[in-house]
Amino acid sequence: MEKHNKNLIRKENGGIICSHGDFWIDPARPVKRALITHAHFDHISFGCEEYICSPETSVLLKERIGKKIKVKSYGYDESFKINGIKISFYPSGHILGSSQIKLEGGNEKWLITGDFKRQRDETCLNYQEVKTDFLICESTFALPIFNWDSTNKIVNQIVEWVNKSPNMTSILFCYSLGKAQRLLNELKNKNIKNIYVHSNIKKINDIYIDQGINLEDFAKINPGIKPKDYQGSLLLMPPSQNKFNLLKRFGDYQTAFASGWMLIRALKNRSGYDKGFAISDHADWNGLIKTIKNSQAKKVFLDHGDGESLAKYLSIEENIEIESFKTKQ
Amino acid sequence: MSLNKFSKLFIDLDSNNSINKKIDLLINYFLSNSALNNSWTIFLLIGKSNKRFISGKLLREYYSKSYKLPMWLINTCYQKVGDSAEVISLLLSNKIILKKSKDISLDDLIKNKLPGLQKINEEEKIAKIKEYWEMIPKEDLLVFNKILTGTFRIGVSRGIVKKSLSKLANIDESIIEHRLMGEFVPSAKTYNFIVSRELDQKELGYKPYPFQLANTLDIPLKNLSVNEYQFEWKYDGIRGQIIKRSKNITIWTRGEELVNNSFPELVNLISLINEDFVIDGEILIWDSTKDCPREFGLLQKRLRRKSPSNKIQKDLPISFIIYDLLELNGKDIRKNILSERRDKLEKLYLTWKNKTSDPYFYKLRLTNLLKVFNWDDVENKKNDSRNFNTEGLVIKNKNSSYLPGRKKGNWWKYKVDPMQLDAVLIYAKAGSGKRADLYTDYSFALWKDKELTKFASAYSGLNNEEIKELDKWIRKNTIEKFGPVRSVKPFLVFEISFENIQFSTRHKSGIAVRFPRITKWRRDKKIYDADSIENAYKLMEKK
Repeated sequence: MEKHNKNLIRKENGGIICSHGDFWIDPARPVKRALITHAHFDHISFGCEEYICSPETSVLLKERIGKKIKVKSYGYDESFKINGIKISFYPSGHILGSSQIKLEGGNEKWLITGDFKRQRDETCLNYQEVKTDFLICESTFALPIFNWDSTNKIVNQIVEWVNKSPNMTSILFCYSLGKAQRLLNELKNKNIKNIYVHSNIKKINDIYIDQGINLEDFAKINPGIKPKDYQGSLLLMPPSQNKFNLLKRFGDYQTAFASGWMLIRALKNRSGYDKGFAISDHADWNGLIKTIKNSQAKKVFLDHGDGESLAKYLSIEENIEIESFKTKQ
Repeated sequence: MSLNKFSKLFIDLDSNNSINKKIDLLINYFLSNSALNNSWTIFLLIGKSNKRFISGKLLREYYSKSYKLPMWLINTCYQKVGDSAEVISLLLSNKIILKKSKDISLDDLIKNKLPGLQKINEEEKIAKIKEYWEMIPKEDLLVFNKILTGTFRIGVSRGIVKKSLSKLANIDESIIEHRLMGEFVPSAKTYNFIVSRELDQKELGYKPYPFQLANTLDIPLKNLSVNEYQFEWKYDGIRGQIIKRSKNITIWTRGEELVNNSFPELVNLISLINEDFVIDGEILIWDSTKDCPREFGLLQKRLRRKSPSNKIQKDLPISFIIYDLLELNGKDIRKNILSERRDKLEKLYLTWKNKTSDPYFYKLRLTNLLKVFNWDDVENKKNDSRNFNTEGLVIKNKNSSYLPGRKKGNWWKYKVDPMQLDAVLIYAKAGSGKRADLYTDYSFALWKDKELTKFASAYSGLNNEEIKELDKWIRKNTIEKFGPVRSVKPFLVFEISFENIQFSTRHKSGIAVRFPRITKWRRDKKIYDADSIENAYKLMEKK
């Protein structure tokens, strides 16, 4: 890696640094200036002096970190410069406001995909293909076993799962930011009795609705509701709530988790959910390969997750110059 | 009667963790399907089909050849998923554009189609399997691959199937258990027999009774009166029942395997006896000079032989230790109390002994009742058990009937304390199945000439929280990766318990231990506090 990126970009301390421009991208600890791809907690660090991101991400950041942080935001069509480095944001299709970040400086062109998906998702702008010389690509699901079914198919399975058990409370765990809203959008007019959401999800829902995103009607879970009233309804809750003590108030219930990892039975069974729905906001195996090929990058680095196999596969089978950042694992 | 229906049941069962819901699902399924279909379902669910048409490894190779995906990549996926059948169905999920999907009959598939694979050559086999993959609906491929590889375990225990059938037919679980034992030929008749409310003695004729098992002693001994109990050695062999009913002899293991062929000398011996009976006991390799059993490993060696030669029979002589008499001349006496059964057994044994002239009759022996007069004697006997190559004591209530399973309060096992050494974690390997992609198989080392030498591997003993914590630690402290195995920084010390220790030329450390398991994470110890090989040798001497 040193050969190519001496000038512009380096992976360091779990984040990406551009020393030349004196800024970081998704740093893992507080820094002076942080460019943020999206507002998931594993991509933001509290306590930075300045955050720079898309306008939607800036709203989410304020909700998550605090109203008083210093944030500068730029739309997808407005490039800007920091210390002579040209910076542009492109939609990555992961969640509301998620961006790929392109950097141009000296003779180098870099693209950091951040987390992305190529599947349909009406709660954010579609992923956009961008050409680059150097690509830093996420690789969360970088094995050929990961092939996503169509969103429609999974959503119909969720509806069937809920409606098949009218005497039970169906609790679907999902990440509060992104997945929950994507599900609510997909569940529009799907004929589920009632949908209740956890307060953490409600907070994010309100932001999405403010941004003009269309969500199915929902109510907040509250202690005034009797277990019987939850029967036949769907509850969306963050995975941290999956504790017997917190769930017993819902009467007879069944649980599920909405995540790409649920494709693997061992993972589903180990985490103790009744059912898994493999719906993901990341690219699957073929999605990753398509993005890498179409970027026409001369050199590719895989980041986030275990990219070793994908790197080996593409360098042998497709002759692509590629390597995997050492993972924390 | 179709693969598709069974696959749907599989998905439903897999989507419910509650046992009651699984039972309800099964009852509904049995009620709405044909007897033949149901018998195949039971056959698959309780794992009667040990038959493997293709190994998991071959399945992966066939996929690699059919779809040009490199083997190393498939194997990486396998490490993540832990099951070949599942890996292949996941890989297939975007490979196949179904031209004409077709449901297959389970009966035809397992009886004709899959056995047919044995008769064709490798190339034809690969083509045939690819044809199936491209014909069977995607959602049924996991089940299909699992039948192919004979890995049908889906978290539906035999117990759940038994309970569902018992609830459905409204007959006692022990009768269902009885009917499920032994050979199982799927057919409408088999199913109707299992759920039939009429008890037919003749059909039950060759089948063993459900075994009674002992619970770990968990109440203070002093609360019990010694006189009410019978004390026996706890042997470490293969539990079995010998059944002789109208000249037919069957020897069953507790794992419900018929092992007549493995122990012809025993069958011979029994055929000399006049009476009909069912006896419960233990098969062991016996050391007649020391008059005690030899180690379990030798018995495994014998079991692996389908028909042991005369030489093996001589070198590894077996003995059947009789624990109990369950049936005499057609009469089930399990309801009689233990002291009465023992009485009958002793008289019967004496008759046999007096009548026979067979020089090998000693291979059949009664288990000794240990003479103890108070609980101190019991404690001493237990502590003495290693001298007799036994695991401890079994304590049985003299007034109890013979009941299936682990009924609390009647039989206890009182095992001798395990041997223990503190050892250092040096390697870790990802588990399979449920533990795929989690480092759960560990290797431990002891000090030998100032170096750490591997002495045992263990995977059980930690709780889920500890497993997760250790998994994280292993990933952070990896020195080197060799495929699925990682060597880790020698830093963590664990207390390893085991049942026996002996010299071994096969192991680098020169010792082999039996049933090694982790009993404590010694966070208080540094690696220099771990035990040395010399300490292991000392344990051996003390034995």
